[in-house]
Amino acid sequence: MLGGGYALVAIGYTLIFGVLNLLHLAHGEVAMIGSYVGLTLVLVAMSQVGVLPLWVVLIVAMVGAGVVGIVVELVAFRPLGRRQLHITPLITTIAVAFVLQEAAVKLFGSEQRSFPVAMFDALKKYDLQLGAFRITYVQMFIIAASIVLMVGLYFFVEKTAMGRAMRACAENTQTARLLGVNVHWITIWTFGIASALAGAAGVLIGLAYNITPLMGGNLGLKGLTIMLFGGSGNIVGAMVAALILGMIETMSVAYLVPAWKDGFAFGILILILLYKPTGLFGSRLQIEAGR
Amino acid sequence: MQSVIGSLVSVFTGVFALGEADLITIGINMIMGLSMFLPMTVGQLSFGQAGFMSIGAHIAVVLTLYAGVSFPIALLAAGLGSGGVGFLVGVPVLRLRGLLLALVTFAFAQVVEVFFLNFKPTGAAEGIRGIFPYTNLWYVFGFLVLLVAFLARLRRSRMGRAFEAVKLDETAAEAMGINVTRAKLTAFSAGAFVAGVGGGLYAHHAVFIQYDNFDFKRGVDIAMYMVLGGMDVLYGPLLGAFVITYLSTALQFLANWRWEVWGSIVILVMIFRPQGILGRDTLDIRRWREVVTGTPQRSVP
Repeated sequence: MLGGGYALVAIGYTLIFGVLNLLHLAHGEVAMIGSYVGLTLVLVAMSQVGVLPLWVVLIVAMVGAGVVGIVVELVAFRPLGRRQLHITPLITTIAVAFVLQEAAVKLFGSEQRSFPVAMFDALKKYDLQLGAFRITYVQMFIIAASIVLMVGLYFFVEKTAMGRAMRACAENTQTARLLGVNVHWITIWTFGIASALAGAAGVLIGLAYNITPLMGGNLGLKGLTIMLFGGSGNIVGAMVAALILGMIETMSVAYLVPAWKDGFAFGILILILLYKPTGLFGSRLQIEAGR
Repeated sequence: MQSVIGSLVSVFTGVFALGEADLITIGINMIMGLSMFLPMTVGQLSFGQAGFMSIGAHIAVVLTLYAGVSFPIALLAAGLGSGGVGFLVGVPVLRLRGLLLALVTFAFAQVVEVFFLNFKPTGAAEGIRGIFPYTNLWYVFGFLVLLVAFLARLRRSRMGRAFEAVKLDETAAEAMGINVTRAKLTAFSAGAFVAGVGGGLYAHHAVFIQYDNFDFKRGVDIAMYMVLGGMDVLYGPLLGAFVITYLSTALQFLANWRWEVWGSIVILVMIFRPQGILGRDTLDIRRWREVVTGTPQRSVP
């Protein structure tokens, strides 16, 4: 269940890293903004009309996060031009991450929030009872939404014209430009779609846990690890890796010393980078990022 | 309005009112900026300097506090210990380049943080208190002067030219008979050494250290010194460390909006000067003549 949310963040990372060769370090913060958009919508709707269907919340949060992502692109990536060093966008996206965090603290307060209990109560009537197990509607929704989004994205990238243009940019930006692909437009769409997925992930994780302005750092890190684990640029790899890491995390809480938990994730990250930089399932692009 | 102008003026006049503690902090940050600059001289981006700083700080503190070793020797040991770790880490890690190297060194710094969070002999999560306040201006700026002199000499030396060649083009450098791996390892370990000494100085100035003194934020700060100041020339990180450390206290009157202002400054500098404020061209007289007269003055090579 956790895996689904993480996978969505990781796929966003993979899209941006694959198509633009850029580590977007504010990606987790975009997801955080998405979950606050969802939360705000639910709270406002509760006071005005009543409980909204979850998919409406999800779509609004995706649009909100997508817009934030496009703004990030226009402010912190586009003006850098093409003569940039690889460290330049790294630094600007870190700056954006801090600004977004600070903005969230100002707008929504720094304390931990969660979706209102009344909403969960209202949705209780859809729960499934399977013998001794009880599957709540929210749990089903989280799983279904992440599967639908992932499958949708897969078809989008593989089957549509814009998906093909994105893959062309990932392969070689210069050639894609020569072949008549509007690279600027593709860049904006890539940021928008990746950020929308992050926004969805933010809502799904917010439904399962809490929402804080600081959740972005942790989310971004998990997404990054999963992306490298599954092979950068490889969408299916990211899905499988997310499921594996989700399970590892659940089990490590049970079997490992909790204080070492974060070190464990970073240890995996280091080992992957050193011994299998193409990830478990192969990378779809050259990841010789340095110049 | 009056008060805003007043505070803006005080941002500039405040430079002359810096106390000893401020100067020490600025000096230590300059050292940290240079520690990141060293791997950069071979074109390697190390995001793990906070981790090396942490190692150095802990070694130095254990030596002075529990073993009664004198301060200069403890600093040296901190540098050597951290440099040694840098060497061991560098051997596998330096096979990676660019973004991936930045990532793996960043992950290393996080692992160091988790290590000291759990390491009982150095107090685990509580950290170490009651460290002797040995650090003074002489130690900090003495080491800084040595370091700057060394780096200034390095550029003209055989090794410095080799570093420069590796930075510009590894393949070409290798073809000219330069041992690329050794150049990278030397620069990386030297950076770790400097960061270790910086950590030792920091610990004996702060008198209290804890694992999270050397966290992600510290790493970003150190990176900012170099990136904002300029990563091509050695006085870049010096200027960056000074400006950033000074402004973060002088801009107190912005209080609530500090991060927003800060983020915009960083993004603007990156847009107009991706190599940092200072670069190779800053002291190039010909370029300034171009700027002033408006006519290109390129000499024929």
